[in-house]
Amino acid sequence: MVRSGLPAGPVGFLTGVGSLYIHIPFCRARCRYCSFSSFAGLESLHQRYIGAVCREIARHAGGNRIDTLFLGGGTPTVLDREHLAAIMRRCRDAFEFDQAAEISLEANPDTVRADDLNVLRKQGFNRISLGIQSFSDDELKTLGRIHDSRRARQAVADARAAGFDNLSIDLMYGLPGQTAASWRATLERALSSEPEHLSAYQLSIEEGTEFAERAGRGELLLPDEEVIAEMDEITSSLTRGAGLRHYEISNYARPGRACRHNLVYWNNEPYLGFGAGAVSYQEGVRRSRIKDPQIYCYTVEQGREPVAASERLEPIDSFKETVIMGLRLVDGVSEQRLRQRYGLGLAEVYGKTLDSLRDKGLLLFDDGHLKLSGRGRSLANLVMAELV
Amino acid sequence: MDHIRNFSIIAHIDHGKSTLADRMIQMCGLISDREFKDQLLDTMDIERERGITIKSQTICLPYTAKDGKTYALNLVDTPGHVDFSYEVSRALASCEGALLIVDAAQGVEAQTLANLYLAMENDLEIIPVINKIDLPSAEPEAVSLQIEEDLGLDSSMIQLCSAKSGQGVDNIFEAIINYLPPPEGDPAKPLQILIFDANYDPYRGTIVSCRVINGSVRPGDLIMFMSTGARHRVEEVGIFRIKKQPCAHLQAGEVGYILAGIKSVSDARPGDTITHIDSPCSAALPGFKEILPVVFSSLYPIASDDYEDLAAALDKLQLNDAALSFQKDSSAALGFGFRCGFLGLLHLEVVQERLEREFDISLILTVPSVRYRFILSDRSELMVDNPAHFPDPSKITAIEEPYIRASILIPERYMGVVMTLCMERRGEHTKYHYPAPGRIEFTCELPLAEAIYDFYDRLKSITQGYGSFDYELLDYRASDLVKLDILVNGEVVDALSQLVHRSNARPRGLSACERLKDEIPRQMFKIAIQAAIGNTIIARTTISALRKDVTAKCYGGDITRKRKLLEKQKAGKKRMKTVGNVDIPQSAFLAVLKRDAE
Ligand SMILES: Nc1nc2c(ncn2[C@@H]2O[C@H](COP(=O)(O)OP(=O)(O)O)[C@@H](O)[C@H]2O)c(=O)[nH]1
Ligand code: SF4
Repeated sequence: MVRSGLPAGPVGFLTGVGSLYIHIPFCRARCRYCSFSSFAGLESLHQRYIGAVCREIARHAGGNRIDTLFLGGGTPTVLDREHLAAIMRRCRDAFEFDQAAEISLEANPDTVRADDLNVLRKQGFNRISLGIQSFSDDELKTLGRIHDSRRARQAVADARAAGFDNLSIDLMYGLPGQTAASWRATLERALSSEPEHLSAYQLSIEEGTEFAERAGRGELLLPDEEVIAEMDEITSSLTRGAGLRHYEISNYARPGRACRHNLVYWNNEPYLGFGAGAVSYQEGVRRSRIKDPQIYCYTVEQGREPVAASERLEPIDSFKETVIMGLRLVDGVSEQRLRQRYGLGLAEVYGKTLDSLRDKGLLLFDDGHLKLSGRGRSLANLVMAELV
Repeated sequence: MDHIRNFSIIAHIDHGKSTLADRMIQMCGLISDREFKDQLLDTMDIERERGITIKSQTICLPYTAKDGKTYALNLVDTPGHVDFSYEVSRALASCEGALLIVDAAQGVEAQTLANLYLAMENDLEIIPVINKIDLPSAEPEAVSLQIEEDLGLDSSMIQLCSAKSGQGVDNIFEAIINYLPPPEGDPAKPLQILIFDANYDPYRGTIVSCRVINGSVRPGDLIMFMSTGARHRVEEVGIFRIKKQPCAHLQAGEVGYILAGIKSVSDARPGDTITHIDSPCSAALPGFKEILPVVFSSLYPIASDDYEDLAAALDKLQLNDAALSFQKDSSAALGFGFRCGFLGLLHLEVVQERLEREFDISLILTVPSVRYRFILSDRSELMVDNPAHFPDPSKITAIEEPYIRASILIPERYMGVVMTLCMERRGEHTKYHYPAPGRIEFTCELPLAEAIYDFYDRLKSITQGYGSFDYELLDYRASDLVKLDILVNGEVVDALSQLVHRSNARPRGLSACERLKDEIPRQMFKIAIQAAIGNTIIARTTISALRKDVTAKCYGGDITRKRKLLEKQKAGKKRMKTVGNVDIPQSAFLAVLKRDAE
């Protein structure tokens, strides 16, 4: 599951990039819980934005063979399929793609029709991630999603018909008013379409969102801890029953169908990002692009790098980051790979901290990998805060 | 001496003392309007923010009167809080007169009275000033009547002003000259100097603020501090302008400063008398008292590495704060720290804030305590201000605690709630009278321990801000006290122990448990919090184990933010004290100091 090693640079940073991320910061409407970098009502900017993104892509042409591409958002599928196709073409012009490259598209059930999906599949997208969130219309309404469960089922069927044989469904649980039974129903519904991949995210209330405001006023009735624990149980047993393997805190996949693109993040490997708000991680430097789409376009059009912030981590900090991200994976981090990449071992960096976390039953060592225990996964933030 | 007037401004807090002082300084042309803000407003943030003066700032104002003569008006500033009433009285003893400010909208308040009494004890001539007449809610006539009838002051002397706009301030200057007597005293007599304040300057040593009563002093003179017998050679004398201005000598009637190589402010105590070594005066000036701390608390650095820094910081603060006392202390839960003595709770808070802000040391404070007197079975007496040193209960014959007389001024309608508050706080000998229609002055005798908690805050809140409070120390009285311990997962957290009246132990214990429950973040395991007297558990709560704390989504663009959040979480944990295996945040220790709102 772990990608074979990329060559390690002199300071422990991997050189050579095999992954691309393209951000489409537009949505039809804003969901009530959403804190992602995305804007609704900017349709007039779409055309110009595609131009800017294509220009940015062209500027970074060349380099390594591309193994994964992820077109995410926002909602990429609010763009016309021609626009999406244009971006795809530009990528192919600029980069050489591996034969077996994973090319993912994030889609919202309400923004894709059968013929769109056909076209996109032909353009080379071979993995689709459907943001369904729930099969309960009440819950979808509470979340402020624009689709209903009928559209969601339709989208799954259309995607299959278009030939997407690598399909992922995004779900959310721990929603206001949600019961364990309704989560079970949503999950069963999702699993019945036999997705290759499933993401099950527990709702978190993010600052600045409508949900945060309501929660502040005490108007958001979230399921209590016991119910959440029950939901977690349900997720674990139903996914297992459906042949999906738990491989990351919130992600489940059939063998060989883990999202290779996201594994790059969790293995803290390099990638290139394009578009407003996108982040690149290359040669140990993380650069985040300007979030505001209009300013982003303007900056690119001026021929300047649309970078808003960049950071370069010391090897030791990068090491820790690699551990923290890697612990999100059920398989954990390989000590040997850490040593190859940084010339450092876990014990040297963490000393007693590691033992104490192990004694508390939060971490375990298994087959050369450091991993979270089941309990540790529930309390991942506590563990990671000790390791950061 | 005719051209000198020495005066103070006294007022209830927020009635405009500082604003009027600033306005007078500005109107004397000591400083340009533009410099005004920068110069005056940048000293001691904490005091400014709280509207409280702790260190006095005396100033000599040059003033040319309507009669054409030039005067030196010495404005002797006074600290503005109940904790510092002795310092106020010494500052007033340096003056012949005082401006008594009363807010035109608020009228007479408790500190107005308390300060007036202090001024009267010092035989000061008083000019009543009604301030804030620009306010729409101002009622100068009603307030005039109060001043005349309730305070018994001569209404013909009342000055109306707005310190904010400057309106009427010129008349105040004239009133000072016309109504206040010039100082008496004889420059030819043996030297008698009254110290009313001392400030520390890292380059010059202690700057003694003083009033020369008799005689005269110049650089080179050999002087003696009469309370201690300490001897010094005068290096410089001068008067206070915006900055210190040296002069050839200071003589009877004048207010100014003396530099004499004095290392610490505690060597120049307010109220002490300075005289010449070779021709001393026959007696010290009356009224000198040792200032004794009445509230005690232990200060621990959160990071034990900060201990040395804390020691250095306290040394520094003490240079300029003679009322602060401290000695080493240690706690099983918190490690090494200092047991500190303060004049009152406000003093404590100011010291805490300065340590945190100016010296960047995060602190944990233990529950403030008064000093108790224990009479032991062998008839010996033991003074204890630290619950950790509570003697073996089987050896105690009696315990006594300090009492105060609290005086509270309130609109009549709050009588009931205030009475209840005082009863809750074990008040005795409650008395009241009506100094004015609709207003009540309520006095009662309270254990000091009950007042150092949140008494003033509570009073303010139940009277919607209208209640004002002042106190004086009375005596020690017998009391039934017990030591209340707090246990976290079965371990006594010694820093949370407190001495309480037996009748209060249960509610106090319960409230401490509840507060800890609110403040201690949930941890991996269940935490039991208990309050106990000896081996008897009298209250308990539990904090359930944290079941889930995990970020659901973390992709490429989130890594930096996620790492920063984790770093913050880690830093937060560093700011906690680990007792047993439980991480207790600073806020939990502080919360225990507070009482319930109801
Ligand atoms: N409207 C009005 N406000 C005033 C006047 N004098 C002072 N204040 C305000 O009253 C508050 C308290 O004043 P301050 O001088 O700090 O009071 P102190 O606590 O007695 O020193 C401040 O907000 C001042 O701006 C005045 O003459 N008119
Ligand atoms: S569709 Fe996704 S990105 Fe857009 S508002 Fe909803 S949650 Fe946010």
